[in-house]
Amino acid sequence: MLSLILPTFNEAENLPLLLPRIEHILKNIPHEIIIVDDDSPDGTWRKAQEIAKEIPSVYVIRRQGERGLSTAVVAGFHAARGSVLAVMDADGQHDSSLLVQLYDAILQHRGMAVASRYIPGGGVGAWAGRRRLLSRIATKLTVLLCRIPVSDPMSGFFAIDRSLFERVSADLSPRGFKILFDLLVRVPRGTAMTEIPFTFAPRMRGKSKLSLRVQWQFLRSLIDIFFVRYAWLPWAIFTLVMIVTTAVFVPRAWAIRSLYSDYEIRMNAQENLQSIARERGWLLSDISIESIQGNTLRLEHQLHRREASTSECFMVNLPSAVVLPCSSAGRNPAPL
Amino acid sequence: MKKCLITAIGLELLAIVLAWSQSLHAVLTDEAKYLLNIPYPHPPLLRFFMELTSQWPAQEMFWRVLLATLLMQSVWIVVGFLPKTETKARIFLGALWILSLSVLSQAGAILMAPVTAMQGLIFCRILLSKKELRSATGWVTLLWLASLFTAYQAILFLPVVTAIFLRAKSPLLMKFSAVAGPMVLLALYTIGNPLVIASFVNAGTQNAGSSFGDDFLRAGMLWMVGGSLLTSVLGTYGILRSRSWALLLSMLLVFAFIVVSYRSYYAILFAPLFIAGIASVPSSVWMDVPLYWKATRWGILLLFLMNFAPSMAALRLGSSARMVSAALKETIGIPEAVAIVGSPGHEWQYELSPARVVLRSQGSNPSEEVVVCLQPCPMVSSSEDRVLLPVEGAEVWVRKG
Repeated sequence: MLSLILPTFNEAENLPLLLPRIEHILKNIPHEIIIVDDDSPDGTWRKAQEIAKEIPSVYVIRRQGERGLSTAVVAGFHAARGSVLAVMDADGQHDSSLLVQLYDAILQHRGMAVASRYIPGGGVGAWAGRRRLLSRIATKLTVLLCRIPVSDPMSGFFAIDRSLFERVSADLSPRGFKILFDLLVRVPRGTAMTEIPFTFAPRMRGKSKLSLRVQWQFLRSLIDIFFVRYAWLPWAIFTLVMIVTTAVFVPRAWAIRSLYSDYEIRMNAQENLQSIARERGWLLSDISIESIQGNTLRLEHQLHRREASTSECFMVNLPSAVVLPCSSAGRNPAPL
Repeated sequence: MKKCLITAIGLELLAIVLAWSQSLHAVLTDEAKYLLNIPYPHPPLLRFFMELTSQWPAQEMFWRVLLATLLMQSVWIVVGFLPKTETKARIFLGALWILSLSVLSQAGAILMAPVTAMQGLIFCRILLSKKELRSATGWVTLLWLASLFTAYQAILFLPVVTAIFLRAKSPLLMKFSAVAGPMVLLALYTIGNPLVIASFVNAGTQNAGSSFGDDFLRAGMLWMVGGSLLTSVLGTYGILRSRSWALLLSMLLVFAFIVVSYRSYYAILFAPLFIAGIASVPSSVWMDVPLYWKATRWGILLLFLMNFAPSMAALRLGSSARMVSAALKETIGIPEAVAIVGSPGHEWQYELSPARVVLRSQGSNPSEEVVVCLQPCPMVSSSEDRVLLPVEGAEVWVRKG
């Protein structure tokens, strides 16, 4: 049985045109049509209930105090009885004749079937240049995050095997309007995917809901999904940082261990650093201790300046307070 | 959405104004320390990025605006503490954050404390989130690592971070390495930089002259400033009432830290904890705060303005370092080296760049072309081959010819 979910908000004008058409197309398939309406101010749910009296396969869910296309679809899926679950827009932009092909694809291959705008034979119809560009960018971004290869993860017209949905439904975080994308980042790798070309038709009636808020929600869901999809990434970065920095910090700490273990060296180093700084006019904050080997302290003096920070390396003989640039180490040290 | 955009723009304008007001006093010594990536005392993460911009002519203003923006736009994190349905309470909570004296007075300051406060705010937000952490634990670990390597004081939020990981459904070993790993790494970094430890000791003993009672009182003042009293009281009440041990421990740690190592800008470390404390009790409890309580906030703000506005106005011309730098540029240009007699702050290194700053003792007559006397320097002033440059705020001697 096919359960078709139609999420609606202010589609009262479109339903009387769309539902008889769908009913006609699905006449040879056992089916139900579930309209999930977010308490539309134009009374879409009421109109749907009226139509349901004439078309018995139509059911209506009216959601109050809750809104969002993705959550509406998930609510519809949970209420559905069919073994194949499908979704399409209720504004007439999706070609309902493809429902049969989507249904057949699921029966044949299981997994998912998507009506795609971005495979040969598909298209976005008469979209304006800006919307075309935004959709293309969003599609490219989302394709990268999906677990199975697909050309149009932003499509709102698809079908899914019920058992597959039940497997992943607990992990879904439905937000915004791209439920297919949310599913595609969670289904197991190797899930069968069938793509059927389709061209976006103009809206039958009413206004588009692609508002700034919807685009913002999409961006947020993209970020959410990025976090889920690449949950391994921070651990990989963390492990790498831990290994690399430990490899840097441990030898550095080891090189100056005598500062901590030998009181005499510590005091000697402190006195020498202060006297060198005084003598040369250095700021103590410009000095860093690099290593101590025997009685020789190696330090770096960095002149912190805007545009022109420079650093020099010096070797200090602790007992004699003799200081030499590292470059001339080995020559006779000159006393301070 | 339009309302959100207008609010965001308004917050941005406020951030710019606050950044500009901070820039009036020119770069302070601590700010210069970060802008020049001077390695004491804090770890290198943020100051490394700051140094990358040292070639930019507007480096100072860039960081002021960026940090002020982050602090002001953090209001979106604050409102996220409450469900969307509680619109009025969300607005009230956002206002509590923005109108906290510590937040207002440090927006635009190039310091690590506001950055740590923002990181703390994110930790508190995650702690109070009802969502399961699941895939986010790795990102929280990275944030914890980044916080610690931004500033040592991030350790004050250890109880909050621990509570977050205790809640997460990850293997125990993973949780342990996530919390303890970054701390071990920080300890290794610190051991490798003994002058960091020396600067800690130095900072910790600066208040050694004052009594414990004085230190306690001063920390109490910062507790008040941290949330302009109203947020402080409500936040502490919320923390106690919700019995959130993580928030309570963090608050006590911040308090103890301030008692030991007082800096007025540490007040902001209280702010995220207060916000979390308020958000952890039902909004009905704190939305009914009597009007006279709300009025205290304005009283304190007024007090702040009365106390600080005149001193801010006096600083309009900028620091001595900036004035000396400007005077030198006007007269002889920036020399290769400038000798300073006295103890200069890091702002001298910043403002006189690219000149080399050399410290000289009081009794010497330095060979450098320019000598700035922050202490009396009789050998320089009595020398016949030098002339005094007329600069306000410092005695500047330049070699004749």
